[in-house]
This record gives sequence, C-alpha cells and structure tokens, in this order.
Amino acid sequence: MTALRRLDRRWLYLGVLLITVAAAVWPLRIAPRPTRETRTAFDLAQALQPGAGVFVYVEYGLGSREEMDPMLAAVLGHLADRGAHIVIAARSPEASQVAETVMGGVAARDPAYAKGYGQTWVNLGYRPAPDVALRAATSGIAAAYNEVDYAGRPLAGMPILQALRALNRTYFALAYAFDSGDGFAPMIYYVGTPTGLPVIIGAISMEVPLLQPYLAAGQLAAVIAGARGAAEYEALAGQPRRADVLVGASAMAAIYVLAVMLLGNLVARRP
Amino acid sequence: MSTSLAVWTGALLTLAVLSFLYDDNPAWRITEHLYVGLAAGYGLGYTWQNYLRPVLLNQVGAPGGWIWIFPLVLGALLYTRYIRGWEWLARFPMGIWIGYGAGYILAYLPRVVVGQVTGSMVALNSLSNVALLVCLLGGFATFVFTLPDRPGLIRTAGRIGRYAILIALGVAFGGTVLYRFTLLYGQVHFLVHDWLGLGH
Amino acid sequence: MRKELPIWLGTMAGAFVVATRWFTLVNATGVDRMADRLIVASYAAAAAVGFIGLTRVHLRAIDARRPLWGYSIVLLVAMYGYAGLLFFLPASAPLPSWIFLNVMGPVFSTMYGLIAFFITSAAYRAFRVRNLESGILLAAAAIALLGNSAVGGRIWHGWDGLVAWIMAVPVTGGFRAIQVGAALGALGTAVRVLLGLERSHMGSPQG
Repeated sequence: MTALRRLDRRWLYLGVLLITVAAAVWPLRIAPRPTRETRTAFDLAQALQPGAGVFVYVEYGLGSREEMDPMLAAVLGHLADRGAHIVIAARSPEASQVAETVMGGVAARDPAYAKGYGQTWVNLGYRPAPDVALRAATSGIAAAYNEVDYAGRPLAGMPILQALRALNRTYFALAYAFDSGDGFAPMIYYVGTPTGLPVIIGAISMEVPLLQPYLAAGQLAAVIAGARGAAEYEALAGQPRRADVLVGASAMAAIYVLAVMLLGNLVARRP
Repeated sequence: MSTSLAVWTGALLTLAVLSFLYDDNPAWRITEHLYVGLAAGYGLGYTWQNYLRPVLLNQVGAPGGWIWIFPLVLGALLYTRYIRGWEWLARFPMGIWIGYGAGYILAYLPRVVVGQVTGSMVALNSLSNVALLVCLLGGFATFVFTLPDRPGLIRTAGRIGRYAILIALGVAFGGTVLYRFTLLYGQVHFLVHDWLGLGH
Repeated sequence: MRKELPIWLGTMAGAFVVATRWFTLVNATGVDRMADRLIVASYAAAAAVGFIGLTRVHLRAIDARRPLWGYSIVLLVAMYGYAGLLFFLPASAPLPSWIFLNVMGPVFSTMYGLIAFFITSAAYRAFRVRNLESGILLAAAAIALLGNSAVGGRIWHGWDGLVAWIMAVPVTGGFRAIQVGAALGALGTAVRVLLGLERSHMGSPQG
C-alpha cells in the first residue's frame, strides 16, 4: 500500500500509453445512439434547400484536429449533399489552413464543389481582430473581408458572394462555428443574437457544458458534442465513419481514468 | 515500417514531445522551442500572405487609399514600446482598441444577458424546471460575498448552488479527459499505424 | 497628454461603437463598417509585436550566453525561417504546406495530447472523496465520462437520459449563474473603461 501511495507518476503515464496503443492496434468501433442535440443539428441541415447559404466559422487549430476534423468533414459533406452554398471563414491563421484542408477533402468527392470554388463555396480566410471582422460581416461580407479571399483572389468575380451579401437571415439559412473554446461566444454575441440567424456549434467535448446555458435559452440552435457528436452525425448523414473509433478509444480511456480515480481513493483510505 | 520522410519527421517529433514524460531532455527542449518559433513565424507569415500583402499593400496604392495610412500608423505605434523614451506612444493604439472593445461589450452583451435571464423564466410545472431555477438562484447566492453576515436563506441557497457548480465542473472535467485522450489517441494511432505499420 | 489623450480617444471609440449599434441613423451611413475595417487594419499592422518581443528575448539570451542559449537559436531559426518562407510563398505551396502538416501538426497535436498524461496523474492524486463536495464532483465526472464515451448507454439504457438531465438542469443552472455574473462584470468593466476609471491597460504610471 505504501508503494501505491508513493507511486511514481510515470507508471500512470505508462498505463495511458498502453491504453492508447491498445486502442490504436485493436480499434474498438462504437456507434452511439444519436442525442437530441445532434439530431436537431442534422434536421436543420437536412431541411436546407439547394443553394441555401451556410456560414461556417472555423476556430480550432492543429492541436484539436483529431477530435474536430471528422465532425467538420461530416457536416461539410452533409451540406454539400444538400447542395448548400458554403462560405467559410476562420478565426486564426491555423484555423484557416485547417478549414482549407478539410473542405478540400470534402470537395474532392463532389464535382459541384471540386470545380465550384467561388460558385458553391468560398474560403474567406482569417482577419486580424476576428471579432470585429465577424461583426462587420453581418452588414457586408465582401467589405468585411476587404474584397479578397484567403489567397488574395478578388471576391467581386465570385457568384456565391453576389448572392450571399451579408451574414444575416436575409441571405443565410444557418451559421456554424467549429470551436475549441474561443469562437462560440462571438458567434452568439455578434451573429446569432443580433441577426436571429440559427447558430450551431460543433464543440470539443471539454467546452460542451459551457454551451448548455445558451442552448437552453434558445441562443444556440444545436450543439454537436465532441467525438461522440461527430460519430452520431456521421451515422445520421451517411458520411464516411471516422469518429466511431474515436468513441471506442474514449471508452477505453474513460474506463482507465475511472479505475485510476478509484485506486487513488482506495489507497488514500487504507491506513 | 514507413519509408516516407513526412511520416518519419512527424514520428520523431511526436516521440521527442512524449520523451518529456520520462524527464526533461534535449530532444524535448528542441521541439519545445521549435513549437514556439514555428507558431510565431507562421502567425506573422500567414497574416502577411492572407491580409497584409493582398489587402493593405494593394489598397494603400489604390485611389482614395490614403485612409489606410491612419490604421497602419496607429498599429505601428505599438512597436514604440521597444524604443526607450517613446513607450508612451504605444498607449494610443491600446487606448483605442480597448475602448472599441468596451464599446462592443456595451453594444452587444446586454441582449445576450437578457436572453439568459428570460430563458430562465420557465414555467414551474415540472420537477426539472423547479430544480433548474433552484440551481440558478443558488449559483447566484454562492457568489454573494458582500453581505458581512449572510442570512440563513442565502447560505442554504449558496450551498445548493455550490453543489450545482461542482456538478457542472465535474462534467467539464469528464469532457476534458475525453478531449485530451482523443488528441493523444490520434498521435499514437499515427505512430502505430502510419509509422510502424501495425494495427488496422 | 501622454495618458489622458489615449484614454479620451478610447472613450470616443467605445461611444462610437455604442452609437452605431443603437442609433439607426448613424448605422445607415456605413461609417461603422468603415471603422471596423480600419480597426482590423490597425491590428494587422501590429501583428509583428510578439515576433519582435521573442526576437529581443532570445537574442539577449544568446548574447549573454545564458544557460540553454543554444535552444534560442533553434527558436529564432524556426521563426524567421518559416515567416520568411511565407513572405515569398503562399501557405498552400508545397514546402510551407509540408511544414504545416508534417512538422507543426504532430508537434501541436502531441503537445495538446500530453495533457492526457497529466490529467490522469491528477485524477489519481487529487480526485479523492474527502467530503460531500468532492464526492459530488467525482460522481458527476464519472457519469459524464461514461456517458460521453457511450459506455454508460451500454451498461444501462437510461444513462444517456441521466446525462441529458444533468446537462439541462444542474450544469445549465450552475454555469448560467457563472456566465451571467461574468457578463455583468464585463459590462461594469466596459463602463469603467469608457469613463476613464479603468486605466490598467495604459501601463505603468510613469511617462
């Protein structure tokens, strides 16, 4: 018992490593039952008419790709299936390039998007002072993004932004934020609440509890919660199943951490 | 095992970061400094590519572009913090930005707060709705520190609110564990699958 | 003048934003949109502040041969190398993109994932039931862990409903109290800034 009480933390680390290696070598696929929130997010996208405007704001960077990429890809894939016109913007340089990479993968599967840049989708990139740029977009997207996209190409020749002029209910049907902590508040403050545009947040598992007050008050239309939410959405939208293994790995991690917590308590209680 | 340079680079860097778990070592320190350096270089370089070059340099030269000189000078004043005797000039951009941000808060936050308050006005026709109201009022009572001798009702409500907040924090902890493990799983999967060629 | 003028300019900038938001006439002129674009541009002009700060700190470390100064060279080479590359090439060009995906990607992801180890160690040493409060915290964490990883739903079919109820009631109530309190605090601070009472962003009292 004394040995357990003075357990070197590196033994616990080794356990973490073994669990994740085991999950990687023998992947466990778990397809969770969809929660009401994920189903709501799916239903809202499913109801879109072809050509409906959708704004996708990407906040997460390289560090959160493992949890968020499958979710973003599933939602973008579903939006492409519905024929939505997708305007992407990012909150940071990293997020801009991540969004470009994920959307590139989704577009490659669909001819309307593979050759439809400027018509069916556009990536506006990132602007310094992102809150200010986001708010400015609610009264005029092209002006807020200085008439150029993320690569400096002029927006004036792009039909998508002739039709979708401002980030509000007149032009857009839905707004998304794919977020690792910093992007949901500006979407609620400057887009959802002032314009009444329904906002859906794709969130890392860590921040889901923080979103509950906004969800309950109707300030958010839906939340897609972490790897589990991604797996649920993939199943509902018939997208490639990439997140089931993440839920399986989460399950193994959850059991390990609970066992560690239990052991810690048992050791502390024994004289 | 992989023969790709990209995979080997990623694998060795991943192992270098993980080596910190055993102890501090030069491989970790190199990667740590690489992390900071690349992040800073990328941030500036991307801003140049994505904004400064296509937007500002083009617009300053265009007819009527003189107006962009003002923000450029304003932002550039921030660099005076590195010039001895001229540091005070950096207060101009800071003052304007903070004032502008404060204006944003005053202009946009009240409606969100009112939405939260009206969202709490639920019909007390179910146990869950009553419990929600009790948790919310209790949560407020938890942070009442200004009364020197808190009345019994506030103390009791504060205790209930504290329990609600602890539940919320416990749930947030659960989410944090799963989030962090998912990220780690991604890199371990990369090592096992892409680098070593094991597993499915 | 050195402190009062920036404060006054800040007050005017904040009052301008409030006016454009609440008075349609001001809003209709489009002056708010122009102001937003100018503010974004001013931020961009200051984008190299961190870059210069890091350069100064690490050049000093190298110059003074401080302990571990060699790592400062690594940092500066990486920082100037990557920024320089992006100065001439777009981020989507093969080389910058390769560095982004194969150097930055693994390092950033592993750095973030490293927390999984520390959080496990903390769970072993700190997550102990000593009283009712710590018991509630641990029980909530356990329910969420099993629920969000879909294990709970396999153990008992009502588990997902339990998690949904916890989210809808105590989590909503608890976090709403914190968030409304924080929002009121932010509003109070914003008023203080506009009135010139909050001056901490002006730096030291000298100068």
